[in-house]
Amino acid sequence: MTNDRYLIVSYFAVAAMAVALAGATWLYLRRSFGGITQTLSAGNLSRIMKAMFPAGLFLPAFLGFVSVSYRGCGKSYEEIVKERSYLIQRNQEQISSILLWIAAALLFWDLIILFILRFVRTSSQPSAESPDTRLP
Amino acid sequence: MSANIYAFMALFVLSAALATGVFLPLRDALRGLLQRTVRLPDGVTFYLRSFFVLLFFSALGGALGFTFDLKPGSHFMEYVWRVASGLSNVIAQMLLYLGGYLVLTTIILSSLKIKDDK
Repeated sequence: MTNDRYLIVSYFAVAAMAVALAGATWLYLRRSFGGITQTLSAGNLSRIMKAMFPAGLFLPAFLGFVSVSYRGCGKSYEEIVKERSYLIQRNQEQISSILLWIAAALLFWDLIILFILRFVRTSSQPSAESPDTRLP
Repeated sequence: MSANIYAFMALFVLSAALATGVFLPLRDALRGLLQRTVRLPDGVTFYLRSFFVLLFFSALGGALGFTFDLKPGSHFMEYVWRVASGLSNVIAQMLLYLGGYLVLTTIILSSLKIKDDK
C-alpha cells in the first residue's frame, strides 16, 4: 500500500473509530443516564437531557479527531506522505485526542447530573417560609 | 515486528494495568460514598461507570499520544527508558483527570450530603 493510500484509509478508519468509541461510551452509560433523568424529572428536562447526551459524547469525539493537524510546521502534502512513520504518529495522536476529549466530556456530564440532583433536592425541600412550617 | 511496536505494546498493557490498579481498590469505597450521597441507584451506576471510562480513556489516551521512534540498532535500556517516559505521560494524564473527578466528588459531597444532614 502506498503512503498516499494509507493516509486516505487510515484517516477514515480513525474517523470511524471516533464514532465507535463515542457510541460504545454512550451505550455503556445510556441506561443509567436515562434512569437518572427519568427519576428526577419526567417532563421536558428529561427529554432534552436524553437527546443531548449522545450529542455531548459524539461531538467531543469528533472534535478530538479533527483537532489534530497533519500540516504541522507548514508541511506540504508531499512532505506529509513521504514518511509512513509520520502518518502513524498522527493517527496515534488522533486516537489519543479522541479518548481524552470523551473523558473530558464525561466529566462535564457528571457535573450536569450533579446540578440536576442539587436542583431537584432543593426544589423538593419545604422552605422556611412555606405555609406548613407556620402551622402551630 | 519491530522493537518499537513491542515497546509500544508494553506501554499500552502497562497503562491498562495502571488504570485497573487504580480503579479496583477505589471501586467499593466510591460506591459506598455515592450510595450515601447520591441515593439513587442509577446515579451511583452512572458515576461509577463514568469513573471507569474516565480512568481507562485517560490512561490509554496518554499511551497513544506517545510515539516510539527509536532506531533499529538501539539498546534494550533505551527502549526501557522510552517506555518509562511514556508511562510518565500516562500518569500525568491520569492524574489530571483523577484530579477533575476528585474535585467533582468533593462538590457532590459538599452540595448534596451537607444539605441532607441539615
